Amino acid sequence: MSSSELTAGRHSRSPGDAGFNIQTPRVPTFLSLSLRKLRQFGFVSLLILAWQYISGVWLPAVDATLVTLLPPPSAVALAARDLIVSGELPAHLWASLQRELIAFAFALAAIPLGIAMGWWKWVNEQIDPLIETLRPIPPIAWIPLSILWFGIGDAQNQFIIFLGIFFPILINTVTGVKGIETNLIRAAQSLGASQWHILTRVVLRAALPQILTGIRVGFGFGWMALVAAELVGASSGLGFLINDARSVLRTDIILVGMLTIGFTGFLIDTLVRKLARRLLPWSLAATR
Amino acid sequence: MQTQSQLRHPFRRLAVALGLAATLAGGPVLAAEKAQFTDWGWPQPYEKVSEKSINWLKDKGWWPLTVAWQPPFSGQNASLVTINRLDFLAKRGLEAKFQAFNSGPDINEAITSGKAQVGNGGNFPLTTLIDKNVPIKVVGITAPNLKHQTIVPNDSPVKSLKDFKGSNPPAVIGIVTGSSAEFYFQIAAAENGLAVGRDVVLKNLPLSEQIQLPKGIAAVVPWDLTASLITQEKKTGRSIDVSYPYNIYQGSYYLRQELVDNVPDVAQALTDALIEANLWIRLNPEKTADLLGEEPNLKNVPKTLLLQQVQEYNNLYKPTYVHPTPAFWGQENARIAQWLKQGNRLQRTLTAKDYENAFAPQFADKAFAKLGWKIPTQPAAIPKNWSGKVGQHPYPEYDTYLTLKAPQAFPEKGDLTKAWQFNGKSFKP
Amino acid sequence: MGTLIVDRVGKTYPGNKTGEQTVALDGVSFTVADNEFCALLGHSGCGKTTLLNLIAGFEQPGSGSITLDGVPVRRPGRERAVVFQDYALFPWLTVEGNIRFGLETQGRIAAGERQRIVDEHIRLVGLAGFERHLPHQLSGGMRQRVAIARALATDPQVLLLDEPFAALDAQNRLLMQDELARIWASETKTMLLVTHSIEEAIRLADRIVVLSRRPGRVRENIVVDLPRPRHEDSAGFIALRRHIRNLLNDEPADQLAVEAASVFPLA
Repeated sequence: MSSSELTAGRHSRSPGDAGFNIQTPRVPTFLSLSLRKLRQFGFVSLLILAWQYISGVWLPAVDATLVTLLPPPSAVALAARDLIVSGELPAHLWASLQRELIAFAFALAAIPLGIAMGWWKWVNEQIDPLIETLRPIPPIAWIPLSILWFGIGDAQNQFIIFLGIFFPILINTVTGVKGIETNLIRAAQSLGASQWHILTRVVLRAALPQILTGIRVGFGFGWMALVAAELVGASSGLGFLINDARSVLRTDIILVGMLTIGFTGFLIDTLVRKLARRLLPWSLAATR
Repeated sequence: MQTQSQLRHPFRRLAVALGLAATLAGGPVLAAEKAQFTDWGWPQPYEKVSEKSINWLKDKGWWPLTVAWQPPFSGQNASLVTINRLDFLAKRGLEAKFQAFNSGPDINEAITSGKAQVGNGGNFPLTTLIDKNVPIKVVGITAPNLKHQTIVPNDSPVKSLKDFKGSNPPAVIGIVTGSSAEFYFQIAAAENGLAVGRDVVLKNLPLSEQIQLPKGIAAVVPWDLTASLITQEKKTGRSIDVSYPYNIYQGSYYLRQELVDNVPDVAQALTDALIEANLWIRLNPEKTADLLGEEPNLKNVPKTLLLQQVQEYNNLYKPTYVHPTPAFWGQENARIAQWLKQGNRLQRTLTAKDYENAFAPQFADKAFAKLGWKIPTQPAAIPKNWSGKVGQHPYPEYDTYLTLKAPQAFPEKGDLTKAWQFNGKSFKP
Repeated sequence: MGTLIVDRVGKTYPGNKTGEQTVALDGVSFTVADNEFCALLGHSGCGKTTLLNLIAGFEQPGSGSITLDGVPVRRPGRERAVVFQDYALFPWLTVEGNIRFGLETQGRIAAGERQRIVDEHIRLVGLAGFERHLPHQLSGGMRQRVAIARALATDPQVLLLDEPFAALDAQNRLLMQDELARIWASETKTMLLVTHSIEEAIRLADRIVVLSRRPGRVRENIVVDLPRPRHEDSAGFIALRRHIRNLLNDEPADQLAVEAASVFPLA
């Protein structure tokens, strides 16, 4: 085609004329989006339906008492509705979140400690044996000691949760620092950075993806330690809700508590991952 | 042998004949009296369960039977340990394994799933089972008047519950939430003018932690044996309030209803074993304390305390305390159910009838008939001329460890329907 | 000023399991005059990178000394900036941020002056318009340009380049060599370039120090007299290349074949 033909054609061209198969993209409707989401949750939906059948129809026919042990989703939903409407569930959720957040604030001390351990060999040598001994001890085993140290109250609960969060952050920080490309440090040195400058401007930033992974994992561990932590000395919280429902055989409330814990944990994890993606767009490690 | 000459006398002949007749008649009676009871008063021989019933249990997967019990729950622990160690079920042809649990609610889970077929619990756990329509039947009472106390550390300035009024910040009470202790404390707080949530707050604290009287707690509310462990053995705390005035307590020994419906001889054997164990404990309190001390969960409890608890909860009252007396407990527990429903701890409103239906007194009735004991209409702790009425609060004094100077005498006039033996002594009605 | 004197430098690494020590460098001596472009050339394993690390101050020599304008080199410093083979850019900083890094560590430069220096160096390496890009959004060649700009922004006395173009493909390597020549012409400094490419050394350097295989010793210290810009077809270029090739050919045979394939693709 000559250039004049090209330019001439351009002005009068319309989808049908030129023989092009131009498809205007379809704007996704609410319906199509919902259907897509439903398809993603296909397996889960099937499970819930099966559960409803087993607990709602089959089990009562076999042995009505067993329904107490596994109430159907409908009963769980009803219990959830009651707890939400009465404000109890939001209150318990908030109480647990508060404990988790305060424990998390303290657990951030793992970052400077981890940097020190990753940076100076002698620090690592001295502290690592202690860490490796304490780390495998599950938070729940600390409960008796924690009561002796903190007495009964929120501080004791927060301590147990803190233990769950602290170690993953520490381990990941050390790994993150040790894994920094040597040349990054050397580049900073050859640009005249002081040791303090290197630690705060390079080491911390370079290890951040790994640290964020540690935060994600730690948050999860702390959240799981909730139920054990709130066993003693709590009068609020999701763990308390479960323990309390247990004493009156309210399995439906227990399930509401468990699902709330699971769902909230998932939300927090997603939040941290999104945050990581925002803060650290160059890093694959953080966003995975 | 008399000579022929002497037997010729007519009166002597009559006397000999009468004597022989008396001997022949009285012999079996005397022989029967000698073989009829064990030393601890249980009639012999043991009634064994039928082969058919054993097969039924085997088919159901309930062989051996699982019996759930609670080590720190006084009175009940001695009875159950005795049944186990003295083979009172085996003697009746039943095989059983005994499973220890930390609390009534824990046992409830096992009973509900059918994993345990015999259980023990306090008033609140029993109420939970009835509320959820779990099929059980109470066949006997354990731990009569289990003492619950509000205990403060020795150096606390608090002298009575009223002293907590106006606490700012609220005084923290360590208590096993959802237990009979919570029930007692809520009532006690109401009657002493304390607002829960303002003057005091309740924080869940297991018994094992309550013993420590941890920092941050103004008071703990345990039951025996933990309560006595703190105030009498360790002497680290003192009691400022006791549960007796607020409710008459009963512990329940209950079975899965299927046993009652399908194999009543098994239910009878289980009931008999409990009553027999109580009698053995009555005869051998020190040995009972020894047996308790051999339990892994009770190894660290001093023997003196175990013995004292046996005396307070197993041997204080007439052994007829074991009878379910459904009408009485129905009334008393309906009061509890009302409070629990108000506090959203129950889903249904339970009546005295609901409780009565959960009791199966027929097995205790039969056992009492075997023993020759009159069936009581009230718990043994209620004195004959009690001015109070069950279900109507506040309660005037009744027989407790604090008010009784000596164990209740048994048997007294009117307690027996026929002759009974205990510890080599015979008793007539 | 930037006169670099390497005087009888030796470096030995302790053995690990086998117990045998590795002698990386043995009595290496040469001088790089102020504003001179010097290339360190040799096969891999000849210790040229080790030597660069010693000059940069990342490691200490076992024997001998290194001085810059008479001052002994003991630790890294901004007067000896380094450009690494793998760029070593700070991935969380933009192009601007990377270049600004060395200026911020000084603390004595005002913000306005900092920005001026940064802009100047962005233009110098031809990256105008990419100030806000993050390193992962740039190609290899562009990243190396940022690295060069970053190193030059602090106005070092010596610029050390450790096989800076080895990670690039042949086309880009040639382009970057020209870029480096241009940059050096514009902001003349003492340069020390470590390379295994004879062509690269001849195209860029005033002086080529040829190192032997381990233990690294100076085979020959060659002054390159050819006029710039240097063409590969010129007689002087070809002659020098043959000379150096022969020098390196004297090395043991088996290794040489492998090296030959990578250094002389047209041979």
